[in-house]
Amino acid sequence: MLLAALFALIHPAAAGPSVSLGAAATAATTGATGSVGGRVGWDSGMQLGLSGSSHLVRVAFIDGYEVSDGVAFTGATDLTLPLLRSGDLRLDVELESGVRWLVATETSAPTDRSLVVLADVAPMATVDLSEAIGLRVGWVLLHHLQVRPGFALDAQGSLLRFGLVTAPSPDLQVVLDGQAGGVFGFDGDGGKFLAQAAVGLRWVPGAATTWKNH
Amino acid sequence: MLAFIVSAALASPTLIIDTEWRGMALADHLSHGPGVGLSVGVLSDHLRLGISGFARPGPINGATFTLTPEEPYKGQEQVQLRSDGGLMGPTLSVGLPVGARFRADMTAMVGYGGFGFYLTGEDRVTPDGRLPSAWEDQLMDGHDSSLGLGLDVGPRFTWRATEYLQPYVAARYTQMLGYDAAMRDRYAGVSMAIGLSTGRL
Repeated sequence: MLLAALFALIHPAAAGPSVSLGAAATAATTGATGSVGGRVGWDSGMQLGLSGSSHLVRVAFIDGYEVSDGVAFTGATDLTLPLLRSGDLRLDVELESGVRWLVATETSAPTDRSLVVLADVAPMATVDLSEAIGLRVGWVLLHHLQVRPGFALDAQGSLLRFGLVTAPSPDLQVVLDGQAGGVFGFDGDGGKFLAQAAVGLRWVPGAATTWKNH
Repeated sequence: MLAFIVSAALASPTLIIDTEWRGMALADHLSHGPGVGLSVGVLSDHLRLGISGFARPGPINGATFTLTPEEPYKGQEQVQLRSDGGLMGPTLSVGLPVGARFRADMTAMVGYGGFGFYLTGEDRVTPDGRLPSAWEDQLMDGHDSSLGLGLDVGPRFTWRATEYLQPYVAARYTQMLGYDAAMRDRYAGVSMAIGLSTGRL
């Protein structure tokens, strides 16, 4: 709520921003993730979110050396900019930036810790199939840069992304999201394919059926 | 006059997100992978400008390529490699309606990317602990991959199923320009894609 008030001050065109709070669980080719987050959305279509995640890592890389077991923590911000609104269609571009701190427990790397800066751009379309169901279609262009122990390209690629947002009640959303695609990093020593599926629950008071494009 | 032309061209532009999956016959083998695109349609959507790209991820493609190195690698006279790569760049598409429910486009992308060959499975555990890329450079004399410009052109047929969701099929010819790697001196071929256009169409 403090976040909503703060940004209402700098975005005076807004009238009563909506708030979304949620949690999600993700299974991926790299491991498993639990995440929580909050988001504010304005009538203009702009959205701003914050999220935190913890990961059980089964595949990662430090300086190109494989990590086969570890934990990681990610903090990220998400800025959604509206491109087009037409009837049941919302077209947005989502800009996510964050940092991921990895602590490896099994690795052949000279060091067991890394810090990666994340910068993802995702053009996404949300189509209302009904009042309670929205289909999300798009793709993610990801660019992850390792900054510690040294600068290197951790992962770069484009992933297809599909999702469903359902609103079983006026205040609640159940979200399914899947992404898959090729990635490249550490001059070929990094990952080469990423696939992940997430299920989440969101509390979106008073806007669960009208605000599905997130 | 110029302002009028530009205004007319940009009147009610369409905005389209494309997502697809390709089956590819590149470099004398079969593979598959995802493709993406984002474009703006102008001139009554007869001309679309944007970006597109595709990837050929190695782990989901089983084709292997036999390398016979000058010196045995981990006791092997021959080593099986996999391939991966991708291409992305600006895209231009010219399209016309076909009847009331279909659309035909000719699409051309000039992009930047690369395709290469890499050690796979247990071979990635190198005998001296050096990274696999160091051994790939050594085994293929620095020519384990080739980067550069590429062309991706071909027709696309879209079915106007709904106002915002329109599936399509596409054929493409892809060629990496100046490609030169140890395992292949040419990375080119044809593809077929099934996709979905989403947006204001």
